Amino acid sequence: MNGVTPIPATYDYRLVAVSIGIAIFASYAALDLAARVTANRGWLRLAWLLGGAFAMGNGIWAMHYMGMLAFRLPIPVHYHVPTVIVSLLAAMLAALAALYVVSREPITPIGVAVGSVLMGTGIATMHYTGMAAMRLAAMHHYHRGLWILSVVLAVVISFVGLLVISRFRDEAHGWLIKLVSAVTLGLAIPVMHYTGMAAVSFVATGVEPDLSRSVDVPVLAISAIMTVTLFTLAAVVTAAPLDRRLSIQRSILEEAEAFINSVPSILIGVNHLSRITRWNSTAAAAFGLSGADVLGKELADCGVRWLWPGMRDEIRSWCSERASRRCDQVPFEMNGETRLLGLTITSLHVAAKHSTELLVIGSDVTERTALEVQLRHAQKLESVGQLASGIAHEINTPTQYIGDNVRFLQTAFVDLKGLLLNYERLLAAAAGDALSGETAQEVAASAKSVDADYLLEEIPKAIEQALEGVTRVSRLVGAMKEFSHPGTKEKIPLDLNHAIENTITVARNEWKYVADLETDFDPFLPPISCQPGEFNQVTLNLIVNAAHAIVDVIEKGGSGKGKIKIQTRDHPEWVEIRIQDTGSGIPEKVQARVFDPFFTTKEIGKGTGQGLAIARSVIVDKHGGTIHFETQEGRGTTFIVRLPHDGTPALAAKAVAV
Amino acid sequence: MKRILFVDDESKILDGLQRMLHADRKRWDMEFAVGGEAALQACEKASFDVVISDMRMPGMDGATLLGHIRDRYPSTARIILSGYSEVTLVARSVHVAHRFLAKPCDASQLRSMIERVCTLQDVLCTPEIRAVIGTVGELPSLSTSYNALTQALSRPDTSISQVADILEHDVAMSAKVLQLVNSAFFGLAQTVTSLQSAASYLGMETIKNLVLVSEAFRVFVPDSRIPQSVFEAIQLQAQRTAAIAVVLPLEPKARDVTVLSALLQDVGRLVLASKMPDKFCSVVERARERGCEPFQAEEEMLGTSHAEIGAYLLGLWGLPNLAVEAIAHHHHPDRIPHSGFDSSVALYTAALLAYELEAHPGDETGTELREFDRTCLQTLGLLPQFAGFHKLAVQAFK
Repeated sequence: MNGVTPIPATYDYRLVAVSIGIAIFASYAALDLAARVTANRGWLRLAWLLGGAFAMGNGIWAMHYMGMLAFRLPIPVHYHVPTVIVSLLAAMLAALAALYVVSREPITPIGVAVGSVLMGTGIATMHYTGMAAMRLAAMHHYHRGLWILSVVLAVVISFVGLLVISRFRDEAHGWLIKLVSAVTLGLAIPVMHYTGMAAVSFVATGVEPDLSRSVDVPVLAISAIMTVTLFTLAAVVTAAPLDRRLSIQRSILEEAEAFINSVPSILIGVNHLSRITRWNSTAAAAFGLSGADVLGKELADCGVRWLWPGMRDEIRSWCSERASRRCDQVPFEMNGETRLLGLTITSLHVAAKHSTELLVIGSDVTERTALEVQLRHAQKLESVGQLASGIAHEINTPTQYIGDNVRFLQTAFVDLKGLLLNYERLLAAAAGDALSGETAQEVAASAKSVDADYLLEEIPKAIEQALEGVTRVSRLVGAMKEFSHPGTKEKIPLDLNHAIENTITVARNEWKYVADLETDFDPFLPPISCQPGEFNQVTLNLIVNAAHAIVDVIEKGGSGKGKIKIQTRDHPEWVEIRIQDTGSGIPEKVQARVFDPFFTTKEIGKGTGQGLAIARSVIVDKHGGTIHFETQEGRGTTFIVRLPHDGTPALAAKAVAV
Repeated sequence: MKRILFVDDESKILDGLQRMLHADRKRWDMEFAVGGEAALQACEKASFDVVISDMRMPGMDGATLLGHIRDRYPSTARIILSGYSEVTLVARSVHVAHRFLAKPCDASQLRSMIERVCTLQDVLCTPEIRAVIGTVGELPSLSTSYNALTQALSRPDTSISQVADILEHDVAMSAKVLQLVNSAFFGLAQTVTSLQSAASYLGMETIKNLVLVSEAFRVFVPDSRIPQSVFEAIQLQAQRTAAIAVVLPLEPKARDVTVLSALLQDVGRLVLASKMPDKFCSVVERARERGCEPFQAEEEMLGTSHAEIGAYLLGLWGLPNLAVEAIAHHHHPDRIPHSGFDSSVALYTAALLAYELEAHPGDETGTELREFDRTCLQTLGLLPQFAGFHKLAVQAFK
């Protein structure tokens, strides 16, 4: 340069290698840091960002000074400390910019470009500030082309580096890819440094440099810087996986907690000391008690207002026995309302704690129970509704002919009255001896005109049929009243023959168009303790089903009416009711399901599918009897109901096709 | 003597009816059959003018029996007398029965029902009408859409959307029906834009009847010699009468029948104008000369009038029997057996009001009424209410 000979400089290649090693290590740390910053949120993210910038800036800076150390000049070199600190700050700011860019979601090309300019100029600033911190008896000159190239390289390398980091920061990529990118970056960074170094040349001035606030940098001090830097980076790199594991565990726990809380069932965990360890949000909502209220308390005394007096003892027995069991319709009070719970208690052995804990799963069944009651009521209403139009018809028919006959009697009476008056005239004439053939003829004509013979013949029949109609209506009304048995919930001794006869009358309109009904009652049937309303419901369901089975046959082209036969028999321990039809029979594949609730073979909207389920519940559960059927497809079905004599224990429950 | 057959599965019902109607034995020849099969056998021996049948019977039920009778003896009047009032059963009988009576019914209801169907039969089965219909020659056939619709509606499982589908294929017809549906006659709260919703608001039967209205105006186009104004006057009278029928105090069902018969009241005139234009012209000429109503001129020249001719034709086309009756009697309220303010009386009243509002707009008390109408109103017991009806009619046009 202007003929001045620069001071010959040499490189210590071992230190060059160390500086490259530091660059690779710092790059690897940067990749890790980027992942950490991205994975964290809030203040933790900020801490990782700042800490990361500190460690990475430190790494870049250390690499630079290691490179400087490798640069050997034959004259003593000192460094101006404040300028050195400024260069360190520049390195950290560059690292901060870089980490900020690569940890953002989503990463945009513009963001990466801006980040790489910031980082590249930061690194260049750090480098040339570091150069300016040199105090030596020489002037530095810069080769303009190489100088520009070094700044451009800083920006380009930053750009590539940021792209690589943002691409591979995710945990999903293996360590190998990470390592390869770290090595690539780590090799690229020193390129800038040594380009910058190539741009500079020193010319001796002979003037002693101003050494105020400057230090000589012995190898030892550099080594110390290296050690600190390496430790910092190592700490970062080892802390990162640890933090990652912790955050994975945290997210698993959070997920499990969210699962447990989102289960729409009550979920309570009880430990071996009978204390509550878990109380999910459904439990909190159902009982109106938060987790904070109950955790650590004994389940029996946690503040739930059970309405069963024995509930606390029951709960204690779960805790002491540690066996699995179920409790249905457990009542408790909540906001002054009685609610019902269905509970399942499961014991589970927790291997880690060597103890057996209890898991209580339950749901509020108040609404469901109410619906079940309503459904049962609906079935009753359905059969009543179905009966109602039939009964209306059964009443309308006799009412029609009662009315017709009485109207006939009314006009007949008027006719007869006229005739009677004529006879009186005839009588008066006879008494007054004024009887003439003419009068007699007139009377005969009037008798003929009112059709007296017809009247005399028909009037008794009309009266008889009108009375018969009245009897029919009143019998039907009586049967209906007995059938429904309003208010009788208790068991009373019931004459089953009479009760069945009533039901047949009430249901007459259901079967009379499709079947002839025959009864064969055992006259010596003893009275049986029954809830009459429930028993009648069962016979009604069975008779209506029999009629429907026959309708099926008729609709499929069968000819003529079918037949329903109802028989009662006394046995030593029970009475038996057989309801036999000549209907379509029950197909084999549905035989096992006919007693299931909601099972129906009828069209949608034609039945709740509750009829036989209710029959079974009434006969088996409430009366200790049995109900089963014999069926032959195409030939018909017989339902057999057995009720135990009073004082006989419940018959074995069975409801199977024979 | 009218021959009447009663059918029931309960012999006591038949015994009761026989005794109650004993007094009528001189005017009616009555037979009684237990069950559908026996009824058909009785019909084979000698046909009946009226059949009155129970609905639910073992074996052949009432709807099936009346279906057979409709097919074999179309001129027999068919009445259901049932202890069921369920909608589904009534709906099933609608296609086969002319009338529906609920058990228990009293003697006067039954008698007046029989009398009414007999009167209508007498009015429509005259040699004069046969002569006119004979002259008309082959009747124009109804569109395939209407036939498809009638067939669809005679099946019990036809859905509203199927009905709408059939109609939507005929764009002109759908437009006409929607126009009628949205007219003030049916008082719908909002404008109906699809046939599907029209059918669900008004019922499929009403839609079918509205299709019939559009058909009637489509197939009977007056001859080119007859001035367009005549056709327009006929349409105007139909619309005005229907608008008045809507405001009259009627049960919803009777109101629908009245509106329908109002729209179709002068179909007979359209028949004459399109098929016998010469006769039509001379009738108009005669009415003008004599200063009388067209129907009076028709009666003089043809021995019958457009009312009976239209009713006869619409009966063949499957118009509800009550509407047929209303149209047949709409110039002769004296023929209506008196049974309250029903659709026949209402049609006569509405048509009269439509005419009066045009002829004597200010006449609220009915002082300008023709003597004939005054007497009729008097007989029907409606004269005192004329002012009220008049007021309603005026409001209908505001």
